[in-house]
Amino acid sequence: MRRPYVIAAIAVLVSAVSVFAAAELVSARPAKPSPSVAGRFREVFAKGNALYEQGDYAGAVEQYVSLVGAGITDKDLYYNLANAYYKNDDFGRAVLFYERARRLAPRDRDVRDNLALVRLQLRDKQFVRDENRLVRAVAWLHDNLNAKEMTLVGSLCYLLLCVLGIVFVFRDSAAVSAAYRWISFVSPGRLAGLTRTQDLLLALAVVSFLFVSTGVSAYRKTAQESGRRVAVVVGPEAAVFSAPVEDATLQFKIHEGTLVRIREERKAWVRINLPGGLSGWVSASAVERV
Amino acid sequence: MALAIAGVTLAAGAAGEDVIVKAVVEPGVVPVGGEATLVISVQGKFSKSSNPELPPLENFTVYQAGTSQSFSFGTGGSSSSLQFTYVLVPKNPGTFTIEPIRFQTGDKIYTADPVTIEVVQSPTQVRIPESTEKSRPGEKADQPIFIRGTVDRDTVYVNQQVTWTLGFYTDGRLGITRTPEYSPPAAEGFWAEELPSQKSSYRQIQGRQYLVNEVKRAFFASAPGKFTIGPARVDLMIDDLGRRPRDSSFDDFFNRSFGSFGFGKPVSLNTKEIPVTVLPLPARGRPANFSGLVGGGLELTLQADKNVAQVGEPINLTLEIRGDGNFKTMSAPELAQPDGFKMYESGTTSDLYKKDLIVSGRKKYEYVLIPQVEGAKTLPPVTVSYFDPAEKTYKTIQSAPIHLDVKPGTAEEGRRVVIAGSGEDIEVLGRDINYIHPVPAVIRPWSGSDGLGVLYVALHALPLAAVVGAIFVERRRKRLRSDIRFARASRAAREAEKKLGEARRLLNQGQTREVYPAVSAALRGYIADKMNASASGLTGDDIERFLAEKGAAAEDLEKLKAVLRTCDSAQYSPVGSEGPGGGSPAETIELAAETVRVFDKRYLS
Repeated sequence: MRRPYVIAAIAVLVSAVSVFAAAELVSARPAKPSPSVAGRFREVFAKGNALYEQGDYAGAVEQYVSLVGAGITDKDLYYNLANAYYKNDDFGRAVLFYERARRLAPRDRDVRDNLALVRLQLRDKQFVRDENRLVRAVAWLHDNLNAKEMTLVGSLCYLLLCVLGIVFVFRDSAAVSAAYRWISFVSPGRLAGLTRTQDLLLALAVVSFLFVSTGVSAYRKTAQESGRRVAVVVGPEAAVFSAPVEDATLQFKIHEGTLVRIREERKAWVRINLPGGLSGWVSASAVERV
Repeated sequence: MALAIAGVTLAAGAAGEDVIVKAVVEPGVVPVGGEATLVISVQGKFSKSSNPELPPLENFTVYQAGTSQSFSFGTGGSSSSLQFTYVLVPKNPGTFTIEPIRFQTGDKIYTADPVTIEVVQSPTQVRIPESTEKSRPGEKADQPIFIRGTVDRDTVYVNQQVTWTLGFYTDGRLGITRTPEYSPPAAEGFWAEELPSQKSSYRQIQGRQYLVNEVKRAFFASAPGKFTIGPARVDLMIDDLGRRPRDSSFDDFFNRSFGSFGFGKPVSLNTKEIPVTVLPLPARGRPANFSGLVGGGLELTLQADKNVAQVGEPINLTLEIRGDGNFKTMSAPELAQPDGFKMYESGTTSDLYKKDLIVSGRKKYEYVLIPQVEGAKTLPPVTVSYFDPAEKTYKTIQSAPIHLDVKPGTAEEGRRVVIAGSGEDIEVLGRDINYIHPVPAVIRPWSGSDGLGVLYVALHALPLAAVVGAIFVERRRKRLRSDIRFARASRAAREAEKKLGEARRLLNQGQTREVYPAVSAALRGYIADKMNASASGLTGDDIERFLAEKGAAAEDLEKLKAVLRTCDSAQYSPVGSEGPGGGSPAETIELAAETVRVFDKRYLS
């Protein structure tokens, strides 16, 4: 009777090790910038802030953009740049950089508040999700975790699923029986009168759902970051045509700040999707990828 | 009005006569120089060559305007209906009675009842055609057909309407065999708008009655200066075979088709160029917000599609300007973004009307207002200035203000702060974005998803492998419990090794005689476990047969038999002697262990 218990313990240990290893990998960051680069970054950033404080928003944009152009990817930089664009009445680019900042720091209150305020002022009605409570819970995670955090949550769900799987396999063993007697006091299934096997199956189903949801979310976030499929209309107005040619039928127009999903790219045109099934071709210069 | 049936008569003959003659004149009241139409209709059976006979009409000039005929067939035979149309132009005022009109067919004469017509003196309508037009020199009014281009005014302000008229005059002496083709005039510096087609009319010019068809265009000059409305041309085909009778089909002169195979003589008629002086709009009294609109009777309205909205909820705002004038060239009025709102232009539409030969219209400017803060708001009135050329002054019109009640939005409601007690709610006066962040102490560039590598994915295989392993182990465990043959076969090598270990322990304790039975028991037990048989009843033949079935090589089989023989011999030989193979106890143990490993690996796995 000792053997299954040992195997389960080893499995949990291996799983934990793999999670820690994954977490370590996830938190891996590129090499720190050299002191001179960091100093230059702070200098230009501070200059941008000073111009902003003086009301020279165009000047502030120029400073921040020079840092973005140098490859600095920082959520505070994106946030300040979005603010400067907003003050310049360039709502399209403001949304673009708020979205970029939100991708890096989804729980930053300033970013979320400002993005919400700018969206109120956009000309096109924005897509609002209408979901049930369960989906909303997953959507909350999706909105509040960045890609790496979501990946880690997905991995944890996976490990939990594997551990539960091992426990389910050895559910008849004395060790699992003894452990279940204690742990199952907090199990809704046990309280609802389910047998041990049924209760474990229920737990497996719930954790499977969490694993699939968080896995899909992590995959989508990672795919978005690597494929950069989400884009923002940056010009005042973008004409959406039926084909990637000038004399194609004009289908509709979208306006600055509207989020679109890029499906295809051809020369100077991109094919976009909008919520509600709208689709068409716009000039590639009219949108910018988040 | 005076449009009425002036006379209806039955046939003068006895009842039962089959011909009815009616005379109708309209209008019943007509000014001197005006026109009245006299229609004589005859129904029944009569000779086709019959014509009505008009009484003397000294107070009128009479023109025949055409005839029309129709046939019907019934049980009583065929009958026809004939209409004779005349145009009466009164010469003097007064009430006149047209004596009974006679209609003779065969030997019979039918008459219509007398018809009365009242002719009034109307100075404004006497000789109207010639009094309202500016004749151009060089046009010969005594020609049977001619055209004339005129304007209602030759001096206008920028963007003021000039109405140009092309008159086509024909007195009926020449027939026209094909639809005249009209080429409009070129007018550089003007924006042109075609006006609705006009009804034909009769006009008296130098004592001759002309049928006049007119085409009109409205011109609007875009800049001050001297401009010219170029010549218009009419191409037509004249019947050169002789004079044709006047035809009522002239009434729709420009719309009628004669067919493309007309005959006759081609003629091109041209109007003269007409110079027009365009005056600049006066600088004196020009309002600051004047945007160049010239017109008359303008009205301005500003409307919102809702007066109550939430923060962030779009309000559609419509600014409408209507009246006389050229709205197509009008620029949008300045509409400042009200405080507390974001405003976007959402479109412009314009409609053009041409009532009474005046170009008028309506232009709509649409905006979207998005409230930013809650509270009662008032959109200030919008003012638009225009120049009225009739009064030669600038005028300013103004819309009414719009009152809006902006409620807190969904996101705004959570921000509402209510203080307990008798105080008022804190009013949100304005909203803005949160302020910029300071320079970060540490640069934390984001690595994107590059950290997720092959190793990360590979590590996820470990837990899965653990699950698979657990499943395998549990299945094996259950089989060991339920399948004794499998359980014995699985444990055979391990049990043999355990017994050999006991033999080694006996050897180490110096009990060498006890070693051989232990080795023998280990080997026989191993084979018995593999055979799932009892070790005590197992003979050498059983072992040999079983191992032969398992494909054991003769050499390996011989080694096993040798070890067993050694053990058997040693058990029953005197103390101190060695086995027949000469093997010491230690060698026997190791040989037995080797034999078990070989059989377990090669034949009994």
